[in-house]
Amino acid sequence: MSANTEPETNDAEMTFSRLRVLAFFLVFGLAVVIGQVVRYQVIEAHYLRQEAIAQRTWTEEIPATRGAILDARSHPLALDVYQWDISASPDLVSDPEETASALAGLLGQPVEEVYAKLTAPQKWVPLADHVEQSVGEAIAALDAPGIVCTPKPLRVYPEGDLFAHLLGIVNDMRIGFYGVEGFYHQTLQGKAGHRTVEKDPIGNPIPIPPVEEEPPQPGAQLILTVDRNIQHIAYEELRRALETYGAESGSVVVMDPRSGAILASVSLPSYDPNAFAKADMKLLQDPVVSSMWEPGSIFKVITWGAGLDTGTISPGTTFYDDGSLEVGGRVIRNWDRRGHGLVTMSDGLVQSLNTVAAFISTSTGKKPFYNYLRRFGMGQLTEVDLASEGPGMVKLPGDSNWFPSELGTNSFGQGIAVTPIQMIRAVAAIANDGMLMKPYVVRAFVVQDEEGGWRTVPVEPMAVRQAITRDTARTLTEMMVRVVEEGATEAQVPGYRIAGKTGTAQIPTPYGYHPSDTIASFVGFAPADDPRFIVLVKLDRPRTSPWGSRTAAPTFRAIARRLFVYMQIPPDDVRLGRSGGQP
Amino acid sequence: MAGLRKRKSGFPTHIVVAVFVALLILFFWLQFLVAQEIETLGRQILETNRELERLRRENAALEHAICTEMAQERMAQRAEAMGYALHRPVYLPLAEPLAPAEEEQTRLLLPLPADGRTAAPPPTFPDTQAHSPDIALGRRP
Repeated sequence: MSANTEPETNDAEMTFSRLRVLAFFLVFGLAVVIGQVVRYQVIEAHYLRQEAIAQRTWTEEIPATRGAILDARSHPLALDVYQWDISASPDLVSDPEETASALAGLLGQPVEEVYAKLTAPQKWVPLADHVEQSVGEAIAALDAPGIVCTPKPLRVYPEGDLFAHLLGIVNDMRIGFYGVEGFYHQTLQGKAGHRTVEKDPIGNPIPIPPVEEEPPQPGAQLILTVDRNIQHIAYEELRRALETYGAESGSVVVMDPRSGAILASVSLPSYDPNAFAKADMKLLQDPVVSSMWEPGSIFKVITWGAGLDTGTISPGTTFYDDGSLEVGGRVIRNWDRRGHGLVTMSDGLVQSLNTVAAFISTSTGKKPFYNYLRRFGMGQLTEVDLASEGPGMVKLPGDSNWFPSELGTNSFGQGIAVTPIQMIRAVAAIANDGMLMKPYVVRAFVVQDEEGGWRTVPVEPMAVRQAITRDTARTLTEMMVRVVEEGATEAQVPGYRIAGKTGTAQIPTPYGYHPSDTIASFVGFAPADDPRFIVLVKLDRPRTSPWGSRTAAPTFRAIARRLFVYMQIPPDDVRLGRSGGQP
Repeated sequence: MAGLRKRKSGFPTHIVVAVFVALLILFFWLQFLVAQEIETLGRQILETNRELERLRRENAALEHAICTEMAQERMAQRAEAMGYALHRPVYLPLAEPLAPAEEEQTRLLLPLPADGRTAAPPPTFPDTQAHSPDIALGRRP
């Protein structure tokens, strides 16, 4: 029995030990499973969740629409259209032959070429870029598997080169440069949104509401102060002036002197902003805000303003002009190198005498004179809302490169550099009773509010400072009227009193001033008693005549004549009720 | 005993199971219907969004085409081709003097003389008047 009992005991022990081993493996297995569960559910849960989401979802960017730019009458000057990029994922193309034959006709490519691309051993192949709207829509409508059609916004300028400098450009990366596009890039571009959708194993989005969606915030639309009709008048007349006078280039700026609103701004030669990549890079900058020039006699109105406002001179103050005046060791001569005898300050402005200008600046004193230059905004940014503005250049007493003779030469616009926008703003202050305004081109922003509606945010004109007193401004205006009536007669428009000043500036070179080339200019405003517009005309290197009075002044007249009609400004006698049809 | 009594008075097990299965089928059927409805609506929304985007793009293209056709340069060329040209303004003479508006009077730089006819002698425009005899300037010819 004992012999039988022993094996039984051994069997039981063996069974027990086997069970223990089994239990151990079971417990171990369970521990592994629990460990893995803890790992997947707790330790790596976040990472794995993200991986899973990434596998089954697809986040696409929803580009924001770039805001349109409209003129003062809400006519679009810059807007977005769409072009298409067409590409293919060869692995997903189900019927390469049929797809190739369908695409080839639309893309204008040989069937063999398209077929080769569709069967290429690559994950992705581009088929065509910048495909026009109708073709892109037609390809998208095919709904062919594996063909990806991506619409891409493209900035277009329907007016071509008419507004090129003023508006600027938008490059392929959708970044604005120069002009309004550059200055208001952030405002115009808006904010891109995104949409996360679930996709099926093939990669197509499952038509259920998106997992996550943030709608894009469209860019603001800009309404400009610029009127395209006035812009066209300025453009046409400037183009005609360049042809007539053989000038290399030129600019015209039209502004409302009461508010500082820019009504037109043209520079030629220009470029087509729709194909700016082909244009000369030098042409992209806006000369009205970026290019400096020595203004010459046009600057004298600032000197006269300083003299009158400080009480140094009055219109009747006399000065004996013997043809030259020495300032700081430098002899200053008149443009005709002649003496004009006893002249009043009014006469000095009408005849544009450099000696009188130097007399005024030296009599005013260097500190007050340069103080007035600053008050008129010379050597400072106007802060106009256009990109790439230059500050001009004014050397001040105390600067290492300032010499005493410059008090004389600066008085008639030599040795000083200004931008056209600075110059017109300064003269506009005279037209605006001495108040210097900040020039601006955006009249209103049209922005989307939180509820999706659109609201208009207007921009108010901004006064900078009283440059000269109202009385001084009006006295100076009368003197400028005399300039047009007796001196620059080619700027006259019958029936209207116009205040203005011509300028003929020599061009500085590394070896002194150019012997023959000049920059001719004219700045004038009308009607003189209640100015509605001010126009600056600048012609670079005119060939037929070097004088501003013979080139820029007639250009001003041509523009002013059309502006009177367009802006519905009756002749002075009618407007002021002075004629009454008396015989 | 009490438990047995309760079991006897309740629904038979096979009926409970049948009801449960029926409810289960109903649940899945409803879920299927709702899922199908959501899928259909989702597809419709997707299609509508696509159509909306397409219309937006088409609208932008049309706006561009209209603006290009209406561009100043193009209009000017067409007007010229049709024989239109810029015309100088012609002002008609007034029978009676206009009373100046009060605020305009305050803006006058030149003081009006007592008789109120003309403030200053009319300016002469030697070069311009010679070329523009047709302009009446508000005066009776």
